[in-house]
Amino acid sequence: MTTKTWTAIALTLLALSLIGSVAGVGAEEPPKGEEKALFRQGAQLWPQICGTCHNARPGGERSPAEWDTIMMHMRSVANLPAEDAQAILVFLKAR
Amino acid sequence: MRANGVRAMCCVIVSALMLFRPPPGLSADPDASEVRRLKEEIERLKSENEANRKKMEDFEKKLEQLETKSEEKQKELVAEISKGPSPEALRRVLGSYWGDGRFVITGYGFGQYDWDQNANTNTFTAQFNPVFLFRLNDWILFESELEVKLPSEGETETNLEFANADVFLNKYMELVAGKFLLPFGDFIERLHPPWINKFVTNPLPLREGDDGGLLPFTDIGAQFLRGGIPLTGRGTSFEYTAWIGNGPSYESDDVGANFTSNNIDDNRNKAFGARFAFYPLPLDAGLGRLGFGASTFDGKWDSGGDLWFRSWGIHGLYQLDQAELRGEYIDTQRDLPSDSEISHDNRQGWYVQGAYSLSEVRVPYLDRVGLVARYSRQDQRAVTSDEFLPHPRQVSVGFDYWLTPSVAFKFEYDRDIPESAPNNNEIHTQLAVGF
Repeated sequence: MTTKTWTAIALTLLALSLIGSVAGVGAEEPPKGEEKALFRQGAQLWPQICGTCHNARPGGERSPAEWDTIMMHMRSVANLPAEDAQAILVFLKAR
Repeated sequence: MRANGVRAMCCVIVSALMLFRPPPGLSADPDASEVRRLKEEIERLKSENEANRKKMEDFEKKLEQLETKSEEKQKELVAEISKGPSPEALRRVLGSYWGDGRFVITGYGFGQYDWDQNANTNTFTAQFNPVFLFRLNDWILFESELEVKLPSEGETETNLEFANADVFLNKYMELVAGKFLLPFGDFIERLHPPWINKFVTNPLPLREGDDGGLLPFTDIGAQFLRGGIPLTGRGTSFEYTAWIGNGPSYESDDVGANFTSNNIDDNRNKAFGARFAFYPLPLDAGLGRLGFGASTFDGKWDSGGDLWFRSWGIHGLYQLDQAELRGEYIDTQRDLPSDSEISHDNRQGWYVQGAYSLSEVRVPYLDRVGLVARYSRQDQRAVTSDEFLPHPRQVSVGFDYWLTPSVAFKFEYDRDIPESAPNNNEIHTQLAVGF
């Protein structure tokens, strides 16, 4: 690829990354009220989204801190939108 | 005159007497000063005593207050203990015990038994694939998988299955760099680990490495765009991946040659690929989960950088309650050197797999069973010689017994019915553990 192509890719990347703020899955603990709503969403998403590829694994298998890391991995592998990943994470950490 | 003199003398004597004062020690009343001193001492002690009394009173008041507070605190603690630890407190304590979770080891392993009638093999084997995850912060993750396996000959073999850094740029976009599983279809990236794959073996077109599949399982490069975007309705999404890498490399120029590693790019050209998929059904609709998508992977494969490898594929799945149907179609075309018998090595392959879980059957042990069936095949068009692939076709049936959601005993029977080779029977069993 030419230098122009690389420059275009870099600029596109930069522009797209500025569209939204940097958002990790376990970045911040959501507010209490929001956490309940996320828990309910996560309870619905967990069997369906995880079950798309494999059996949904129970939250008790790992510590909450470990789920923070594992959900980052799963968000990447399964191309999960951040909102869905966050809801499933809240659900797993509470069980 | 004499009388005046006597008077004067008397005056002098009186004055002298008046001027004379005895020293204190020679005072007339020594007890009086002692009494005065004692009185002063008594007054001082009285004031000291009064001050001490006040201090004591203050101390008593404070002690009383402390005792009251202590009793209240004790009551609170007793009430708290009787309630038991809150989930939050328990989580905090367990979290500190297990560490901060930034470094996590996960992965899978299995023990396996294979029987192949025509090859006359009857053997056990085992494999161990630890996956290391390190969360640097909330938007950077490093992940790596080692594959430790026993080859048919020689000593234990260790491969770096993948090792890449994931940088989450925003909610819907991620950058991945390193060695990664090929983002093509569903099987390679998501379904191949044995605790996920419902069969022991891979579908024919997705056999790994030397086994003769249509695609390499990994590439080294960068996924400069990757992510998932929610659509309308919970559970709906559009996912995408675009990437560049070193590209494919083959063991030889021959038709039907297997892929080989391309750790150092064998030419100056980079391969590129893209994958997208849709999940259009909202979970609330109760219509099940539907997913479908397409992929492509193209790049020059020879050291001269003249010959193309081109591929594309589609994949799909549908799940409803305990039933699942999924499949994948792959088409590849490899330009061959001009002195070859044919100009292109053109291969296609596909599989379709159905599974049904008996988890809703209220019978002990039986509710842990999953039934599974698969048809897979691989074609090679423009074949002009018998040395080419034998157009393998395979019908597979089996069952899984799930000890836990990630531990399964699997049984598989394969009936091989290739177009240009004798039929064959295979049996595979496996105890797969995901951890």
